[in-house]
Amino acid sequence: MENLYIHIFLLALIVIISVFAVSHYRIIRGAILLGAVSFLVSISLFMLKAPIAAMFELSVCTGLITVIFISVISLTNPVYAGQKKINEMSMVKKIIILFLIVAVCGFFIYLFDEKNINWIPVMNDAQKTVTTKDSLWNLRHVDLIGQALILLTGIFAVVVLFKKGKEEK
Amino acid sequence: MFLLLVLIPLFLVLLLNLNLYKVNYKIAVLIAGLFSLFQMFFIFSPNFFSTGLVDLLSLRFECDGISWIMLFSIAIVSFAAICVLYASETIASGKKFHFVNLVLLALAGMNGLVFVRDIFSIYVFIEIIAATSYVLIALDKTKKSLEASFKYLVISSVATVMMLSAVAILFMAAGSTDFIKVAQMYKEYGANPLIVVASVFFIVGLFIKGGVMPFHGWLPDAYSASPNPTSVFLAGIVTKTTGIYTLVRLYAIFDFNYSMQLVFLVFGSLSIVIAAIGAINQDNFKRMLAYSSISQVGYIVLAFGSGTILGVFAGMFHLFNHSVFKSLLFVNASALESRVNTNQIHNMSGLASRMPVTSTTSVIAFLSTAGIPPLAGFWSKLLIVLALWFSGNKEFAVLALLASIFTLTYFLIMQKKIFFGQLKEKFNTIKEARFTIRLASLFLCAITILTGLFFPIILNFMAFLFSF
Amino acid sequence: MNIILSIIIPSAAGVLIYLLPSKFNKTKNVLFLAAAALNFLIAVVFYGKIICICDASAYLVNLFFRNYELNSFMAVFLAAVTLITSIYAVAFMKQNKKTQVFYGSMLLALSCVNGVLFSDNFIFFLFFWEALMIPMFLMIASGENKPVPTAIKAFTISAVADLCLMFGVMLVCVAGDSFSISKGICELKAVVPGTYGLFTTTAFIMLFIGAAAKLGAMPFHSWIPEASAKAPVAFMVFMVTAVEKILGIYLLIRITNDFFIIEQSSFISVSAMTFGIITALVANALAMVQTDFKKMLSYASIGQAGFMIVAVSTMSVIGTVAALIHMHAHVIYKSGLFFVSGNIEKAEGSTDMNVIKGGLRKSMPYTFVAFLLSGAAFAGVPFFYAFYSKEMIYESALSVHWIFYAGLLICSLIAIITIINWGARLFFNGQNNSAFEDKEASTWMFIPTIIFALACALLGLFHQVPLKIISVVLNLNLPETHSNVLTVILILISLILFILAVLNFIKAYKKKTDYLGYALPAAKFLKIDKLNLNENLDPYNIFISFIKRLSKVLFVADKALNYFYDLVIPAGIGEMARSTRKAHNGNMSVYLLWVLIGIVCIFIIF
Repeated sequence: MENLYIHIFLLALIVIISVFAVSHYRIIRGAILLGAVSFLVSISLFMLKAPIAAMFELSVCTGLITVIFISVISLTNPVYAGQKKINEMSMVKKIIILFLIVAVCGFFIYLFDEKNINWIPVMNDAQKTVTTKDSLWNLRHVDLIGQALILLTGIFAVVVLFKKGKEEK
Repeated sequence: MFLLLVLIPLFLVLLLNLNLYKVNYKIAVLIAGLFSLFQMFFIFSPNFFSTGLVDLLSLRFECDGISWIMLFSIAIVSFAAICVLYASETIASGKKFHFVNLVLLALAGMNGLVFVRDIFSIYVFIEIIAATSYVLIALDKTKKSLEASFKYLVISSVATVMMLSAVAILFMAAGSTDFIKVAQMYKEYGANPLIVVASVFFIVGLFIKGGVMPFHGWLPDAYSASPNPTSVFLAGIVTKTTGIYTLVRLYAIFDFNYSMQLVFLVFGSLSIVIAAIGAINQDNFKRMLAYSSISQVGYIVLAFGSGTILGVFAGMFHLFNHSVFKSLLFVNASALESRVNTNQIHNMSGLASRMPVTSTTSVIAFLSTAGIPPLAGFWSKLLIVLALWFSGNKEFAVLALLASIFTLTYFLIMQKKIFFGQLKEKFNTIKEARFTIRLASLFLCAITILTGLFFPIILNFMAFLFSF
Repeated sequence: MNIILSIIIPSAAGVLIYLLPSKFNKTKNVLFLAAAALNFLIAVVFYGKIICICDASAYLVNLFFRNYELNSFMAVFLAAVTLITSIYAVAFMKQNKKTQVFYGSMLLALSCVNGVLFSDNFIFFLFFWEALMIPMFLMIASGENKPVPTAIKAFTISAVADLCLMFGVMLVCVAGDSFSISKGICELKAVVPGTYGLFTTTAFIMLFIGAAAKLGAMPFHSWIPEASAKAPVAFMVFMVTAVEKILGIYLLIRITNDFFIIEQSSFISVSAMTFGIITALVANALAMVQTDFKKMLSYASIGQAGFMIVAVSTMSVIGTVAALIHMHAHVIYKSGLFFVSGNIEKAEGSTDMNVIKGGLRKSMPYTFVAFLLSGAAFAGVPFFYAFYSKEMIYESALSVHWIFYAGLLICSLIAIITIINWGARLFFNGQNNSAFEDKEASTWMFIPTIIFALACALLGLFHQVPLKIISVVLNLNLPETHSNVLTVILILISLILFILAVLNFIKAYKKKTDYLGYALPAAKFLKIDKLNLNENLDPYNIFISFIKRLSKVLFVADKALNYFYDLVIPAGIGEMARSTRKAHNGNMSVYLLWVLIGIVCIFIIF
């Protein structure tokens, strides 16, 4: 059961760091913290016996994306003093939010600890004729269309939002 | 045959971007408009419900009466949005072209969402629509619209996470994400805390998408900061399809016990009252309409909360009506903005004499919203109140009735300030909005009036749709 | 061909008179007289016949004569009075547009009264009863001397009283569970007398108020004297004297004999009698101090209404018969006197004591004769018709308590003194030197006058005939009390009363200015003259001023409410709206916090 405690510890760390990543006033530190989160996630995935996903997470999210982020951000201007002050002011709020999150999590843990419940309800075998593989791949034709649509949307998003049109030049 | 409604827009998007011909934005708009009209009439075709094409591609798509109503609403609103887009002067022509593409993608997404019978697919299609919405909101690339888009993105991502985790839990429990399997699982393990957590997560995700109080934070910003055609599209149908229609689908799956109903009732009434109060003091016309939209969504959620088939029926009817009159109001807002160049209510006055079509249609739309007979809104609100009353939630029925007063209040304030009163001198030369905007207004207005007048026929037809 | 003609013909003629252009004035007169005559004919022909409306419409219009012929009798009597009055009206009134309105309204009123009398259905009954107010309004409004305020007053008072009646009828309908009068009555009668609950008692009181107000009893009287000065004489005869009394007595007899069974000297009975006696006393005292002949007559009329209420309220057989006979007698002699007043008005231009110098017996001998006969009936001189009716009323009152008898005696004494005073003032006094050319009334005015006057005397002489008819009509067996010692004593007391009045007159005659004698100081002592002059004491004015004050209070309350609606609620909502707006400050972490709170709420609900 030691594994469980490590998991809880890791997850709590992920939550806390990600909150800091989002709320930090300097983007570059935010990017670094994001990399840290990805790293923790990959550790967690390793421990959950999903090595491929963990490797992918480690290489792409922790490595590549962080590097891109940091390099891009370092090209932009640093924050100026006024903005910094304003952002520091909201530190109290962040702490309150953090406490709230912890409280909510604790509440749920308490709630589920109270009742002796069947944590993982699994359908009985008679109904489990569809295998996981089936349901994950063979029945996902519909989502192919969806994926195509999302891909196109992504392209247009990039075109519209990031490409400077002729009119704007 | 109904699969065509998903495939055609996809095909059209590809066709438009192949650069085989030098495609003008006007042609693109025309194509999109024609497609929405095609959808409007194609759904009436007798072999529309035939599943040949779906079977051929072995897709898990189905179409029933509720889908039909959604398809009709989608067609109407997207037609109006495209009309507004054509007339819009603030959006550059290149962006209009992209807008058309995005609208077509969103259309395909919405049509797909209406057909799917799988909770993971629901998630996927909702994400498609959300992604297009982010881009559509930020199309202007002004500070405000980018901010609004970012807000939507962040709060939506919360919803995404929640829905995805809910889907994961449900998949784990049921071994499949198919509606039927999940429903079977719910019958067996409905009371299990984990499943309850999953359903709550799913509902919260949908509430965020639909903009139900207090998950609505992104909505006023998104509606008011986005370009006019986007507002029409977003307010008219996008949030309704992603948020509200999906709730109806879950209704069939989830084991709706009283606590679930109570959630709907409480959050519905919260939305109705607080959003209506919030709408009263707004100075930005579109922002006020956004609050009004939250309030009306509250009515629909309240109707679902009654837990009866009549409630679902009334909610769907109100959804249809709401998408018509709310997009009508947003069309009017864009008409005003195109002429007065502002959305601030205090800058406008006495425009009724200069813009007769806009003022008349907006009066009809707001009367319909407030539930004044014999317009469409009256009947749907009546059905909602009846559903609540007969399901024993009398206090909520009374609340729904009383909240109509708020609706009337803020719309009267709006009407008085914008259309009536003294005409400001600088507006003496103002003309009525462009033809396509007027066309959209009159079209939507006609639907509102006709739905109200021929309510018995519509009721019969809807009852027929609900029967399968 | 049935009794419904008596409703259709007058109303048709009335409408025709309204519609015809003023060129056809003479035609209208002829039409008016013909309609009145035809109505009389119909009433006589269909007298006492139980005629149902043909079967097909029976469920719709359920009108028929009652078994005991009361309504038939009333209708014939009214038809006769109407015929005579219409002759007088045509002769008396100037031919102008207003007159034509008067004729039309009179015919409409006639058909309404016939409708009330013949309907056996509460809805029709109420319809005709309420419809009567419109012709009444028009008839008063067709007067010449700014009559509209008076008309409004009359209308308002009648409307209030009719509201009570409507409420009572509603209760009776509920209690009897039927709109049919005869059926409802059967149900009501099944209730054991003396066990009436609050419901039935309220119904009785409401109906009683409606009937008493129709008769012109005290709090509902104040429009009558005013109307006497403004409206045509024919109105006073037809409406105030005939229609109001006939309908009032009809309803009173119906409710005390048919609708309810009230025990003799029960609480309700005694209260109603007290109500009647107060009306009689006050009205007679007021009549005495009037300086206008027509006003005096109208006050006396109110007083006689009090007599009738007392008689009916005794709830005895003799009382009911007495009330009907007294109504009969009163209509005849009061109509005669009103016609006399009309004749005098025509000749002198006024009926005010201070304008007329008196001595009219020489210039208007026939009118004088008519006055003598009618006035004798008014005073209750033996062997006149009213004498017998009054004796019967005394007898019925005495059977309950002597105090009612004493009250009625005082009323009678005042009435005798008053009429002697007016006789001396108008026809003697010898100072006839007014500027008007005194002329005897025209033949057509004189004939109706003398018909009523003679009727007073003749019916008195042959009083057994109407008595018999009425006891047959009412289907009641009068106890043979006329040979009793008691009756003789009562007659003797009445005679003593008469002698007292004459003595008082002789004593007063020496002064030559006022013939009221001791009565006037007594009236002054009781401040009745002030009561007469002080308009603030008019119940109508009190009511109106109360309404005005109430409306002021309500106005203030309404203002406060408006303030609440206009300021407090919008301010509250505005404040809420502002705070809602402030809450939406665009800060995303706040929005996310809301989402979190929402999720927690949902979990709490689950």
